[in-house]
Amino acid sequence: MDEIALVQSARKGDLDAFNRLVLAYQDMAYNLAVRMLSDTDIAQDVTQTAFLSAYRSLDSFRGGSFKAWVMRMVTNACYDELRRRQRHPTTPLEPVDEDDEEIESPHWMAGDDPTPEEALERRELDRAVQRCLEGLEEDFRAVVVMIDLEGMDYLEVSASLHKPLGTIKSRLARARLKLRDCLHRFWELLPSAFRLESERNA
Amino acid sequence: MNGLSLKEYEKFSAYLDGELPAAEARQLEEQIKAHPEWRLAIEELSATRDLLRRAPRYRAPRNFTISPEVARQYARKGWLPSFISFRLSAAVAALAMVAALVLQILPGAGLASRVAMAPAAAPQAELQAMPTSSAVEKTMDTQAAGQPQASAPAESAGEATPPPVILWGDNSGVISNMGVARGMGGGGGGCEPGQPGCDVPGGGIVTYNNEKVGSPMQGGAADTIAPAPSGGGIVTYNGVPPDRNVVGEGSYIPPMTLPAGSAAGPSSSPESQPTATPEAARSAAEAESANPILGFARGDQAGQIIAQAPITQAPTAAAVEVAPSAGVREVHAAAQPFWSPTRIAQVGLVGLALLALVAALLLRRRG
Repeated sequence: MDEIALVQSARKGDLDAFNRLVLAYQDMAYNLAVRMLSDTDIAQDVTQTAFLSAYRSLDSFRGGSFKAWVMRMVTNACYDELRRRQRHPTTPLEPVDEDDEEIESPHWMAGDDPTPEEALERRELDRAVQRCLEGLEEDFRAVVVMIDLEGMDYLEVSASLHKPLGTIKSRLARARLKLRDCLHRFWELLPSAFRLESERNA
Repeated sequence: MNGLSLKEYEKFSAYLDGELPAAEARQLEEQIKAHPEWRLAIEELSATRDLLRRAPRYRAPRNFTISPEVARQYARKGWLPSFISFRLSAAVAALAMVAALVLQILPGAGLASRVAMAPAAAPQAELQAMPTSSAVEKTMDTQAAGQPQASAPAESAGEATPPPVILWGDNSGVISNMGVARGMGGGGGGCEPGQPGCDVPGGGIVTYNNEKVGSPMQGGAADTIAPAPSGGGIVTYNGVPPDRNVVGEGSYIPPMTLPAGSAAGPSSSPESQPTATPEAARSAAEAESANPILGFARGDQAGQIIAQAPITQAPTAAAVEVAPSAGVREVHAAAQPFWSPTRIAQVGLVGLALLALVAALLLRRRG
């Protein structure tokens, strides 16, 4: 059954059809929440909240990209959490154990059974990217995560964030520029394969 | 930024993603050949983008599917909940508050409540006593100093018993043209009908300018000022005035003089008093015998008291009704209770605004 048919069935009250849509987009939604919030536990709650909101608001879906619509639910839930966090202290990204030691090779990170070296490199890259994302404003962060980390196109992001295409382009360029400058500070920590061409030639 | 503007970086970024129009992309490629620094900037942006794309993705640690129990708990929104959204609630709150404010500002709405809160009217018997109090003197002083009409009754109302409203003649145009306010306003201001500030019923002194037919109450001479009886009554007069005092559609405003006990005004500031005509002076002399209203009271037609008009600090012409058929103005100062329909509507609208505000906040929090 294709996505449109699933959406139609879900709107008629077919919970199984909706859950199939959830399974199709839950990784993307969770990844977006983690990148936006830098907290895996809260990202789970936010993702669940976003899918519940989507289920309750299915009647407001007016067609178009269901992925963009679901991502809007996730983004809105993330914004709500970020606003709530402004009133309360936040928590770090890295999962820690009872002794506040960072857990090695977190199980929640996607990978194709990499070697220990590859896993280490990925962890370093993940840490650098997340640190730099945290330095971005929320609106810029959402755009660059959805396009560069989630692989969504400009139109989908424009629909998700309810912003004009020009705004999306502008925000993406600004975010990439800031990330370029930020990631320069992590070059020496990153494996050579991740470094910029100009850095490697220097 | 290597001397490059943000606009150029936006173009580079879109070029990398293939989001640049073909013509612009070709133009940019030509420019890149001529500007090596552009190529370097694009390469750095491309490397940053690749780095982000290679960042590990997080997989959902569990399924976020919804169980039937949870689905029942979070029942689907119906038409009504989706209709009553945050925006609608906010709009309702704003409209309700605006409506409540409009009701407060509208003439007669808020004013009616003020009349309702005014003290009870004095007995009609008090109308027989001529006002020789400080209120009259104050009014005279104010008038002599050239103060606006409305200020005199405002002062006198604060210290003395509210004076009556006195209506002259038998034509309904008198009230509408002169306005009760100007008729009682102490005579100094030269207000024209409908002029702001002239429609305030005032402090018990009726003035008349017999020099200008059709503009009653304008520039009242001191010797044509008649203090109204104390006690806050409304007096109508059906006397037949001289021809020169024709006002409007055959209605007449007789000139009046001060009673003997309140002559301080005219004598205290003669330089500010307009000159009264001989006819006016003669008429005033004739009218002195007709208390409480001094004018051309003709025997049994003089000074009929029909109602009491309590005048507050902000006196109004609220609830004035004219009965043309009777030939005598009937002026009613309706004593409205505090919970008038307008007040109830205002309170209801404010309550609705508060409810909508709470609903908006709740809906906003739920997202």
